[in-house]
Amino acid sequence: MSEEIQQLVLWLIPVAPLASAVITALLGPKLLRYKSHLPCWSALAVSFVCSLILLLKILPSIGSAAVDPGEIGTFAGPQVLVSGYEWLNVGDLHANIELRADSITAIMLSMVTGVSLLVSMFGSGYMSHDLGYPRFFAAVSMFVFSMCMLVLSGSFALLFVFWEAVGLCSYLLIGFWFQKPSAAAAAKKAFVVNRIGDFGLIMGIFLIWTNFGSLDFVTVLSDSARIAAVEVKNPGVIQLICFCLFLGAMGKSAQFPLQVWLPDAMEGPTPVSALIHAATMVTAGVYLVARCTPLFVMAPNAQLAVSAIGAATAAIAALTALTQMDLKRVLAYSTVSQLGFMFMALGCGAASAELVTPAVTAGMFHLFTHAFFKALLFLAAGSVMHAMGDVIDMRRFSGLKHALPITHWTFLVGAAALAGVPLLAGFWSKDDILAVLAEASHSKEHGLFFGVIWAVATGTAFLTAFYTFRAYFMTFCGPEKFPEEAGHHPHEATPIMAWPLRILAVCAALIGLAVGPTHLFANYLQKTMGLTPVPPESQHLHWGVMALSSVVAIAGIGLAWMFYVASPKVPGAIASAMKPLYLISQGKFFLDEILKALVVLPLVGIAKLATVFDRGVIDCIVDSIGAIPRALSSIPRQFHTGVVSSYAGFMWAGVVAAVVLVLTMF
Amino acid sequence: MIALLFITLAIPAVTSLLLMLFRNSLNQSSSRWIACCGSAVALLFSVLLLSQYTVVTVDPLGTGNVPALSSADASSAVHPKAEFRRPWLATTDRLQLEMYFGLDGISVTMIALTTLLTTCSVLISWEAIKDRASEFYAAVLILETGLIGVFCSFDLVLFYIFFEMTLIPLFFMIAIWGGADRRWAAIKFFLYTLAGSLVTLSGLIYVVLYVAKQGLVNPTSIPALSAWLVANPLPASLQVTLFLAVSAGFLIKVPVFPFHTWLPLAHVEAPTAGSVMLAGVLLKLGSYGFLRICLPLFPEASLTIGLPVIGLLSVIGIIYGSLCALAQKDIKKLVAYSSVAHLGFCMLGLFALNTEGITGSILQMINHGLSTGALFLIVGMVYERYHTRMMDDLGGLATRLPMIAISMVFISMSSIGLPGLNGFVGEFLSLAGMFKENRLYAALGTTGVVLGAWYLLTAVQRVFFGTLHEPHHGDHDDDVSDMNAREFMAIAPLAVLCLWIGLKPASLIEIIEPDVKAVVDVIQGVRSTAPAEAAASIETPVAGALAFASAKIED
Repeated sequence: MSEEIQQLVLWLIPVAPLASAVITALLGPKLLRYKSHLPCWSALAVSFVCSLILLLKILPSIGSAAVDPGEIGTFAGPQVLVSGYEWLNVGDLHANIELRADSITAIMLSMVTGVSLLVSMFGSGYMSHDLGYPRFFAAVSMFVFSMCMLVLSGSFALLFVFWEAVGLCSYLLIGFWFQKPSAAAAAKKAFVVNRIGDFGLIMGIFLIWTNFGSLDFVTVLSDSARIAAVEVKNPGVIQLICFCLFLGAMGKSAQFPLQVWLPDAMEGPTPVSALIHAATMVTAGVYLVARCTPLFVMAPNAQLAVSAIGAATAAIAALTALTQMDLKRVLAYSTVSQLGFMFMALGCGAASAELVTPAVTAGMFHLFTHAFFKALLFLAAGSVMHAMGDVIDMRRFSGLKHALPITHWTFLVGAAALAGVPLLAGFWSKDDILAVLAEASHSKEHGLFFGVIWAVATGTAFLTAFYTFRAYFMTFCGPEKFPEEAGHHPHEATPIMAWPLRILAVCAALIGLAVGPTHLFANYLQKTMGLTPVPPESQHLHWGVMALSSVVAIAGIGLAWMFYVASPKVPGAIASAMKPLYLISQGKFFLDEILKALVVLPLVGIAKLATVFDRGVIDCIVDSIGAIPRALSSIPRQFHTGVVSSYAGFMWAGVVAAVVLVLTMF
Repeated sequence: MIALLFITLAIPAVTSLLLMLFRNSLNQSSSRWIACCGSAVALLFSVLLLSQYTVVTVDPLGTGNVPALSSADASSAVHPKAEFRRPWLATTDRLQLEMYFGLDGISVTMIALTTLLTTCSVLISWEAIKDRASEFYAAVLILETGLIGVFCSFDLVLFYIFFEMTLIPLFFMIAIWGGADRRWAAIKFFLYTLAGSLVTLSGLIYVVLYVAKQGLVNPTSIPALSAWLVANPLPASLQVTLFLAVSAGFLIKVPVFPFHTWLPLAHVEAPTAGSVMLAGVLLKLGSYGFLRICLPLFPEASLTIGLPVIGLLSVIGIIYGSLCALAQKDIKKLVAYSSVAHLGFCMLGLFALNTEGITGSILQMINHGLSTGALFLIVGMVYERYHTRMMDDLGGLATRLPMIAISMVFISMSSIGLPGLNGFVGEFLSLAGMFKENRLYAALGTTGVVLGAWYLLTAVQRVFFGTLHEPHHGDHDDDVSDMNAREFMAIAPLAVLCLWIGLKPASLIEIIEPDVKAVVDVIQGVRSTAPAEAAASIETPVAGALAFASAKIED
């Protein structure tokens, strides 16, 4: 494939959605109106096709020439580079608009554009009566553009630009129904909490810039000798960089304690939750950490932190999901929890150097499969919501399996994939993570640490199966019950909503089997810069772990069945028996309240204090200095009374004084 | 090119003169049209000037074949690329004072910003100013004249004359057309900034006399003075004292914490046009003064005192200004305090004293002018419709005023530094520059990025989102209409520029690059000659302050 065509393909991936965003924003409200989905669909289709060409044709074709697996130190992998224009070029700071695609990029791009195409189709049905129809598609196109650019960025500077840009799209889409105070508040919260993470990312970028003299991925990441040299020159700096970058990842990927924004983000339209807050944007943090593997390898402590935070997040989110009554919130917490799984895997490189690549592979594989089944679950939940007249509280409906047959079976597939039912997508990827963790727990140095993480992961996997099927049974089984908002005959998804569900269901069922055990995914991903391809002879399936995780998944589902189908009185009894624990879970571990008390209120208090200080102290000092001349003038002013007689008196005194003076002088 | 400059300078002056002369025969409508035409023509000429400047001086291919346009010595930190010099005030053998108009990249962009914001101010005052309209517009245009004058003055006398000249029209704008507490605000604004600039004046007089005594024949010319001081640096302690004296006026003008308290008051009381001009351009006189006078004349003091002390004050200003903004109930006051924070970024970058920082600082000056100017325009639009600025009285206006809401979200994003828009470039470069010199300052400054998003998005949320909540304002509740064409004309160019600078900052950076380089070269020279001393005082502000104290004691 000629160079020009390669460049064209690469450019089309982000530019098509950008064009769609601009067209829809300008023409949508007046001209396109309820046809605003057309530019978006066509652009996303173009992007998707181009991403597939990149994935299947372009990269493999250059791969054969460029791969040099012999030298681990300078392994850059096959990549395509396209330059745009000079963006910022000041002093030592160079950041250009330039696209760079390698294996991990191609995988992310195919997933992002594919899922977003399906979601946008679903969205045109879901949003069909909304007044903001053009605005929705403009923002979605803008988001896909930003997300594609985020993974196509070849430097930290450009990555940060689009890191923020996806945040903006998220803000606009969470606050899509801005008339709702809760949506407006959630949008702001998401943006501000993300900014806390961005603080870390900016610091990390500055540290990389001052220590490496460049922000370019290839310069910074490809040469491990150079990274080692930086570490020698400035001990501890790599670790600091990694912590800073991870803080950024924690914000975007909703890791403890910055995860508070994600459940609230469910205020946005459900397709948005599916696309941005489940499948794509929230995985940007995972992508960042995976991308920076060469740095993290040098900072074992940072890797341990990544695993520990991932484990804590996964467990807390799963425990919270157990008792939520809002279907979308259950899914949101499960997203947080699954992101935790990915981070747990990413940190495993700390155990031993051979584990680095399998660990990153496992994390990225889970990211990949998760995108499909979680998007599916959200869209199915959206379909439920659509049919139930926007009611999403699981206590208000049940037994929907007959009324919504397509939604029912697609949700079931998604739930089974998430729970880790054997052979479905989630099974393979979660199994990879558990296997890596199990292997890490055998390491000498951090064996105990990873043993604990492994136990947490297994426990969380059980909880995942339980809460997912709790949601499934509560929604689709039991006596048929509809809320009054739904009317008497809830309507099943229209074809434009049903087809994306079906396609995603097929993906959720089969994609893991197709690329997991065949090692297609792993072999492809491991051509990424910074990873070391694992030779085929050491790739094997982990039968023991598989058996265990199958048992765990089935047990979780079985328990959910017992609680919510066989004997529905049990959960209530347990809840009242363990009231405090139940309340903690239902109250989301009171993290919102704790953060509010520890961070928000003190800051607001300081802010109020600052205002008082400003008026009362600083301004007061200024005013008192300003009052000095007046105060001084008040002394002579007393003599200027304007009364003639007093002036006459002064005059008389003056004359007397003059006379006395003259007399005494002579 | 210099002819274009004089035309740009003359148009607002002549227009304001006309408005004053015929003030009795002009009604609201005719005077605003005259002002509009005058400011628009000035804008047109300044754009011509900018494009001409770019064509003549910018070297896009990087061949290095830019003709040497400056008569200034190569070692000077200031190199006007076009100049007009005439002897005035004194021409003896020992003293040859000249009036020195000139243009460099920084001044030419600031002039364009001034004319743009003046036009916006005229457009936004269209309906709001009813009484004595002709005098009002005359004041706006005199202000414009003064501002352009400052930016094209390359001798200290002219600079100071124009610098002080800007006070008077703004004083009247606040005192006559301002809010309830306008007199106090105007007096405080006037006296506070005047007091500061008198200290500046005394410092400048001292420098000029000192240097004249040493034998420089044209000691008021900034390029000549800078070149001379590079060759014959002032003694360190004297330099520090003079730096502090000259800084006084600029510190208040910027304003740098803790000299900022006049600003919220002046902003709240000023009419919208006054706020736009005040925030958009007038405050930049302070940072421009630092850049044009303090850095070139006192490079060593900038390094030993400026970086640690003013850097620290800027950091405090960023955090403190943001926190104060967070607690405001009046949206105009919120924007005013946000200016304190944003100019903190500007000063932080400036006193990083390296290429990244100073470039970022200049961009931040322009960006703050655009985005805060636009924020004040929006606040003005809302105020004109509802006669309140209290956020508690307003809510959900996006339903009623969608275009204004979209503009507000857009401009807020620019103001909180979203990459792809202008604010990011300035903040990022300023912080990056400071990160090279002092990581702690840069890290603390970066927290302002989080706080900035918090207070501004909170304001957006409270005023524009949520359920519609309008105050009752008389019996025409349904009259409230969205942005009209005139208001659109005022805000659209600002929004377009925000996007343009964000997407292609290089087009702006290449204009100012040689001028930044000249300043940085001079400072670099100081750094390399006195590395140990400078390094010691960069380490901590405390050390810097100690160095300063010991210098005083040695006196």
